[in-house]
Amino acid sequence: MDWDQILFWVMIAIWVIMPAFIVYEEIRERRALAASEAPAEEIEAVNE
Amino acid sequence: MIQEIALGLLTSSVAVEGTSRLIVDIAMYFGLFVIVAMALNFQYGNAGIPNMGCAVQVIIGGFTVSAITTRLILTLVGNAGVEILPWTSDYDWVYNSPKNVNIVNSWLSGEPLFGVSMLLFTLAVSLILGAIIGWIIALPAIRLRATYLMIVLITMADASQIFGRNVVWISGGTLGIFIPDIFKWYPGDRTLVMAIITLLIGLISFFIFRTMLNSPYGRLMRAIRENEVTVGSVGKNVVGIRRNILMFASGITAISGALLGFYFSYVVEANYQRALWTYWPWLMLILGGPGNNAGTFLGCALVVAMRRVILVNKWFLQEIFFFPVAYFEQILLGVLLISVIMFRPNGLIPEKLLYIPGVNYRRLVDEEVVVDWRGAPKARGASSGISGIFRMLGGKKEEAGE
Repeated sequence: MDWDQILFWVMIAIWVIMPAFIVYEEIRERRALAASEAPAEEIEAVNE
Repeated sequence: MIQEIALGLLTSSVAVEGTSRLIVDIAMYFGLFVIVAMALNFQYGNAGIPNMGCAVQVIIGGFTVSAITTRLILTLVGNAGVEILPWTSDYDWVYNSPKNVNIVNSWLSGEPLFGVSMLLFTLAVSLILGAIIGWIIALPAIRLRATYLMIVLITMADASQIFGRNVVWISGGTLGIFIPDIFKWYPGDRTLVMAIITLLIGLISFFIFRTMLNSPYGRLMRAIRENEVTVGSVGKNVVGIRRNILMFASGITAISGALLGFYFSYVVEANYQRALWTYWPWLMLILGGPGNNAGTFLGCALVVAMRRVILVNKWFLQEIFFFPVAYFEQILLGVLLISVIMFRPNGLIPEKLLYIPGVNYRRLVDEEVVVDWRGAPKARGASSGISGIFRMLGGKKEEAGE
């Protein structure tokens, strides 16, 4: 069995999964923040 | 280049040859620099500690491998009955190192458990020693303002390299020390195993840092970064918190130094230069965006890929440039740092507001808070509410009348 070939693709998989997960989480947090900020802006607009 | 990479991926029967070799190298350095840059982001991006001494912490990891792990392996293998050359004096330590490592490697090829246990031992010891060195750095420096703290830490980075160069028993002085191959039992290319381990440790570090930053402690860190006087005024031990942050991040950073030692199977102080392990991680952090793990990853990926590709293609680049290509990396570092600070000071991915998982912001904002103050206990003293003020004024009048 060519272990090098297997490990090479395992390495590529980890290398791809790691940034993909971090970008996904970043986008999720930014969306959640945007969603939480929207009502506050509406309340401020009504007060003004 | 992209075509070559794609071609290499598709056609290579043996994984680590040609372009695939470059990919493994980039992955390894990406993992190493991600650990260092995330620890730096933890210190500077979130707590506002400008750590210009990352090289100290990385070199401690390297010294752990050379001075402790290698000695331990030589002792244990010697006790196992293997004939090894003398290594206790400084002279023998350096000049018998290649032969001893060769003997030890042939023994290690049949001992996978021993190799893995040595790796785990080294990671644990480098974590502890890194934290101790973080505490030592913090002793004189942590009370200083940012500029002076940076100067002290740069000096310490240089001092650590001078120690390595002159104290032979640590890492063999200027000649360096060979490290036993703990993955000798693996039938293929051990650098692949090292790259996978490094990437996994980078991923684990990310989860640790993320958990810490999303905890109340992370919010405290950001508060210290914004205004440490205010945080101190509400009773928090700012110096203690900054010291703890420096210790923790130092421990994590030291792991990358240990992994680099195992990757090369060789430790020499010149591998742990201040420019490489301090200024390049700073560029990654500033380029990606401080206070932001996604930015740190992006900065790391861009800078590491760029550096390794330049390194591999220096012969080709030399024909294009009118100056020696050896200086190209340094010029690029300076130009990129200045450009990013001038045109994009917040980095490619600017820092966002703190998001606390599990908190429903919409509910918090929309919630109608109804408080029945009639049930609240009345505060003692004259200053409780408007009636208290009137009472106080009345009392004063009475006193004046008397």
